[in-house]
Amino acid sequence: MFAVHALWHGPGGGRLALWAEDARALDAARGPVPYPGGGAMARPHPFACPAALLADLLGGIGPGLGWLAGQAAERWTTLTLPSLSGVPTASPELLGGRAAPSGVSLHAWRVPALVFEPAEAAQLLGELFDPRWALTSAELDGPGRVDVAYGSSLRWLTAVHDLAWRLVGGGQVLPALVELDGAPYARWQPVLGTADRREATALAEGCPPVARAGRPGTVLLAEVLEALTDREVRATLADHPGVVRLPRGVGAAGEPDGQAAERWFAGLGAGDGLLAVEPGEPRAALDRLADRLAAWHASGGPEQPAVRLCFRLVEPLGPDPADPEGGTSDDHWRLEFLLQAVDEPSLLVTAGELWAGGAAVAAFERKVEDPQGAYLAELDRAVRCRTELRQALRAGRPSGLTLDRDTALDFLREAAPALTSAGFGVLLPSWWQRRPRLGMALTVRGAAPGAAAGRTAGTPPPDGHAWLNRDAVVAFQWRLALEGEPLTAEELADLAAAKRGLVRVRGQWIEMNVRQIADAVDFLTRQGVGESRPGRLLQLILDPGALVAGLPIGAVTATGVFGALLGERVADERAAAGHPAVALPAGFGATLRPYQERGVAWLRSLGRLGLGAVLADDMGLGKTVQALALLAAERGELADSALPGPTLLVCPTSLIANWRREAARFAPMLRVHVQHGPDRPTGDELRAAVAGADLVITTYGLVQRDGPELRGIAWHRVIADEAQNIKNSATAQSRALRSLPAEHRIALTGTPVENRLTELHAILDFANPGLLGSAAAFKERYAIPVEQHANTERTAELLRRTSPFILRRRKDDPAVAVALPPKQEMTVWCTLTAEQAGLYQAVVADLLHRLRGIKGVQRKGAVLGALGKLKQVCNHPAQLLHDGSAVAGRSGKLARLEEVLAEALAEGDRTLVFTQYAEFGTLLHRHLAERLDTEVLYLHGRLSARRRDELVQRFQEPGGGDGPGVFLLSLKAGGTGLNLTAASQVVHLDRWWNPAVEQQATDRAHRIGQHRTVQVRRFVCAGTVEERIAGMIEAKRALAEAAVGEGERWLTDLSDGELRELLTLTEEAIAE
Amino acid sequence: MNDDSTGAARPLDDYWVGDFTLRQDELPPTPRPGRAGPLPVERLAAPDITVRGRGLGTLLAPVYRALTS
Repeated sequence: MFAVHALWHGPGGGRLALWAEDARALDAARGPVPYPGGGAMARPHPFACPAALLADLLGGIGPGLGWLAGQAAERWTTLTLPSLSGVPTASPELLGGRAAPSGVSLHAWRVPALVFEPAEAAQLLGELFDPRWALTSAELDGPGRVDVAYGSSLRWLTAVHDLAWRLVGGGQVLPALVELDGAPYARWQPVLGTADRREATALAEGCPPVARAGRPGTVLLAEVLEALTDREVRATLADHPGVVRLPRGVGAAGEPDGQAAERWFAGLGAGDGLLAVEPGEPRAALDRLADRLAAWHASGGPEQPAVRLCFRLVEPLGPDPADPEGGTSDDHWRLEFLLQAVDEPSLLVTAGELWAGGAAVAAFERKVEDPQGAYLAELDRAVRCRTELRQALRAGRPSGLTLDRDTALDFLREAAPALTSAGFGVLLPSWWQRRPRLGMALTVRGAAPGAAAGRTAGTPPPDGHAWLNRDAVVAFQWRLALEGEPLTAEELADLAAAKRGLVRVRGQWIEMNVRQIADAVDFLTRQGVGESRPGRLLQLILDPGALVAGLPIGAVTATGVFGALLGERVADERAAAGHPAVALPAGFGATLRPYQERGVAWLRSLGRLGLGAVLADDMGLGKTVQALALLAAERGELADSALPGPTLLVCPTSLIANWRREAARFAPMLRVHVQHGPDRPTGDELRAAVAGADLVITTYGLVQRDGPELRGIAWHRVIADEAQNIKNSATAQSRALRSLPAEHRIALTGTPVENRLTELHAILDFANPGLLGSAAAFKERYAIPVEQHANTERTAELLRRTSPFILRRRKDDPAVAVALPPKQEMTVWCTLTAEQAGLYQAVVADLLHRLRGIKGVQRKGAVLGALGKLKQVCNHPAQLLHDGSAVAGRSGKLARLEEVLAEALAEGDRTLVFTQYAEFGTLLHRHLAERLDTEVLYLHGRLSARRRDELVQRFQEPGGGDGPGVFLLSLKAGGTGLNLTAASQVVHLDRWWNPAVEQQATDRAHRIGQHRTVQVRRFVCAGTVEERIAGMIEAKRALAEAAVGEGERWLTDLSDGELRELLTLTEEAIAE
Repeated sequence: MNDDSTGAARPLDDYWVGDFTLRQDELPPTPRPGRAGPLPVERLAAPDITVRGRGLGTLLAPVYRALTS
């Protein structure tokens, strides 16, 4: 084993000295030899390798190193090394990484060395640079193959050389006049950029002490870097003879400054740059030159260059100059070079004009002293940016390049952006700015003749329409299209034959991916025409990221139902178009309104395409009757043997009775089984019950609880009523519903989006699993851009993608033409009693006190808790205190409620009173019944379905002035699904943050069947948080359609100051 | 030369070794391909030095072209 080390020292900028340790001599050198005292001469290193052996060693590594070693001088050099007991310690490289002994001290030792002049030093360090390995082997005469380790000192010098080499290659050098050991030298000095400086600093700080020989690392680094940089420049110039050449002409004889400049300039390219000075010769001229060079180095250039190079790509036009017959060619592109004034872009001339001199040059001489020189300098800069431009320099007066199609495309794709970002002007053909795009065009035609199959086969449609069914297939044809326009077979063949990246089609250049075209042609040959299930095609078409044979879908042409689904018409028109009318059986107990007929037809069409549907009509527009009509129509159209199987309807518990009653009323031909209650059938009994039913009604809770059993049944269809119950796809209830196997799914909801767009995804994903991708992908692509950034493009895309599956009609939609009576909405301002005000202020004070020192979840919890308490105080002190105390006379809101109800009763009106607090409802129930002398009903979540049904029936019974005048309902249990049109008055006692929820509750009374004007009163305690939040709700109502909402959590993010402002009571709040 | 090791906690442990790394490139190092910014010499004002009547800037242009080629 040998370990090779290095030093850098010596005159004239230094030399490289290599020395090595020889492990074979290490053992012999061991022994207690006292080291001489101070002042003694350095002793020879006992296991240093002789210089000749070191030269052999280098030659044994490689012939190049051997040749360099042959150029080196053998010298003895002295260095200080850690020593112990009179012997230098071995380097870690020689010890193979073992730790050095302790108790060492530094002593001087003489070692035989090979000393390399800077030129060879640079070459050798370049050869030895190896970032991965510090170990090699050498073939020696005698010992044979031996291991050779490079010491840290040597590796450090190779790192410095690497930096110098990169600086030179990047042109980061400046010529200078320096003095070394008293002699003047023409030298190339490195110029370090920020990253280079960082690298140099790290190298200086990490220099091994053994290499420094007592010098600071920064000093050694500067010395080595300057010497090696100069040598690398000279090595490059040696490969380019003549680039440093004195201009022809008369020398500067007798003129000292001129002579000095000539000698210095010649020295930049000759020898080691030493400028010979005769003894006694004055140095003043050289000193002045050094000063001027230093001043030049310190000068800053102009802020912005006056001119820049421009590139203009010109597509082949006219006859090909290379064609003697004058034919045209698609491979004769021209890249023209131009010079442009930066501050006057219209001053733009071609290089040809510039070389011609005259007016062009004169125009630019106003900008720069030497326009042609500036042009060449810019061209040099461009060549450094894009090496393919170098070929232009072969011309004595470069003016441009001729490119074929491939190199033209390379220029368009790669060089043009790089040159632009480097500050050059780039002028490209206009078609490149908006490139015509290739895509796949799809044509879909109705069901293939004879393709209908499955259980409806042979059953002629009663309406005579050639409608599709879910087992049917449609015929499709894919074609390659340019900008949506399908290409002809001939054009496609030309394209496939071209096999080039730039192709002219229909006189228009297009950029194409050769491989992609080949794939597309292959695809079209094998799968371009065929038949498919409609659902699969629709899913593909609606996916904006879908690729067919690697190309986007550029255009879709479809007819019939399929075309109608993809139409851009408004929802209700779409429902009408292309969907054959539905014939209801004679026994159907209602006459559908036109919009309802369209809805049923739409539901049936989607079902027959195997696609799920979301019927999202406003509350009161009859989603229930439309769903029942769909089932009744199927029942009426098909023979018993051809019936498609049972439909499972899942709804909230509160609506079980409603569905049962409505089914009996409208669709008595349906066999209905209600799967609910403790005595519900299970096992074989359940299967028997289902087998004999067209419609099975159950609840979300039971779907979760009886999931395994319900999953074992092959449902034809699953309908989720009030589908907002599954808006959170992560809940067990939602997962249980999704797990039910069904051929067709329908979601019924008046509020497909209550707060967040992800709810829409959850509902649509129930109806058409996987159609919109994962929830996470949906959130990233739509929810965040639409909700947070109001991205109109994504909003439109979402609408395009979802609209085929959602049918939503509003009450105020002219197409609906529902003759609902008007609805008058008003705010009833209430005051607080002194007791309420005191409690209110105490809650606020407590909150603001508690907010000091808490944050995060704890703070949010405190804010939300306090908001709830404040709302309770606004309702009634007893609600906050939970003490069962007296009710009368303690709440301003209750007093107003009594007045409003009394007035309504006097008018013979019935009133729905909603509260979100069951405890408050209980408290009011007793109190109002006593105070108003009327029957007060109370519907809340703890009641059984049967009891709820009784209450609803009781309230709806016509009874003149004798029936129940007030129906108290908890917002959660009674806010959806119920039909309470006997009421013409609605009171919202306390505010919910979501206007959609409030709206749904109001729609219990304001719906089909209502004949009187409905008055809606929202109770708000003035000057309290209720008033401030009421304002926010009004603002939110406008946003509800855009599905943007935040619940109340945003309140928790308010600062302490903002909270104080929001919550603090104003004077108008207090009545007394 | 004095013995300066006494009392110190192995101060010479790192004498042989440095703290540096050699720059590694995936590809063989090239002289900054694609470099398009002005060279240091281009960021300076035109030198007020002539050689036989020719501006130093003009004379140096071929040198930088050779270095960066």
